[in-house]
Amino acid sequence: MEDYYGIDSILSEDQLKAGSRIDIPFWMAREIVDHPEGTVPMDIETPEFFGPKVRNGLRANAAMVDLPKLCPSFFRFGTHFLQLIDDPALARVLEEAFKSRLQMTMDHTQSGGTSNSTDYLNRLDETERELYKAGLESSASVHQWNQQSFGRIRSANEVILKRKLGA
Amino acid sequence: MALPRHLKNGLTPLEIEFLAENEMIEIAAAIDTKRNLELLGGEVASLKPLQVNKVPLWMAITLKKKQKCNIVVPQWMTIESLQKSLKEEQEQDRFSALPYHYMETAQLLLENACDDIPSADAVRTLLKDLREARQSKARQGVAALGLAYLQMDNIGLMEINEIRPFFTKAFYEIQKLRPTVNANEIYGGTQEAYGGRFNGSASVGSSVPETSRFNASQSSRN
Repeated sequence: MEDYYGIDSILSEDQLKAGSRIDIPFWMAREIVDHPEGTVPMDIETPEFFGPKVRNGLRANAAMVDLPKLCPSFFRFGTHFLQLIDDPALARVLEEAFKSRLQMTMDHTQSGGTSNSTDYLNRLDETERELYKAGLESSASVHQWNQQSFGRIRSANEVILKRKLGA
Repeated sequence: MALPRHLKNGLTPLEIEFLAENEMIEIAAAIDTKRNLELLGGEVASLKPLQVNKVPLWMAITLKKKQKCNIVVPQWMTIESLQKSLKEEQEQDRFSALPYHYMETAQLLLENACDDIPSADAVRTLLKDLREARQSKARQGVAALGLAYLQMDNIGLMEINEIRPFFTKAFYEIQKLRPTVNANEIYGGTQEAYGGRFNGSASVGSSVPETSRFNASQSSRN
């Protein structure tokens, strides 16, 4: 009996004809490419969100591109994708876009989450969101230190609450 | 590690303040200790009234609180000096030369020894302006991220600690976005090609203590 989990057997059961196009999960594509026997001849197409339209958008004004709409983990997927596919142009576009958005992200961490930044934050992908959180936390802690709102001995919140309630 | 996130990325502002308290500062003591003070961290020469004594900042503040000394404002924290630094900050690309612990020292002095600082309010404003100018400069450093390392001379500990989580993470992500660099390194390298592009506004020649340099060395994924 054929190996049930073998990629070849899965693909053969689909009865693919030469030249047909199918959507497969990225991990499967990677497995096929890395397959020790390398028996499956195929081309991997660049997904639409790495296509020319998006690339031009990123080149023109990277900060305005709504990444989560394209792919929630846009850059993370980009790194995986670039390991599979040799596309220096895409690598350059992604890197430049990431860098120019980075500066905006840092600006927003320092302005401390005001209302006009929510629009921008909604356009961040997961990686950038993590960055934003990290930056916000550290600049908030310095700000707090500046305001001297910690380092003082105060009543615990519960105690204050209790007092307010008159218990 | 099971540390909360805000403790994972280096020091907290309070820890930095603690470190800064070890810096020496000049005071005019109002007491005579008669002999040298033997402390765990070393000896402090005996305090004599009517002359300038050098003591750690924490001791100066403790004495000040007991009204047993006046603190001599450090040279860099005078109005003239701060104005000069601010001007330098606005005109030059590099960070102006301020002590490694300038933010912490200034904060502690302004809080505890306000009456020893001539025109303390003006000093406070100047420090704030300085900080803002330097912050925007650090922000420009983002543009230079992603190459071998980023050099920011004269940056203070508090400042570097503030940007560290963001910068290191961002740096790491950029490294991941360029698989080609790693491939080139394997085959003996286009180092110059990448080294040449590094021209951060925050980078200048080095004539500063090692401690105030920000070197995030290139992480190798091979």
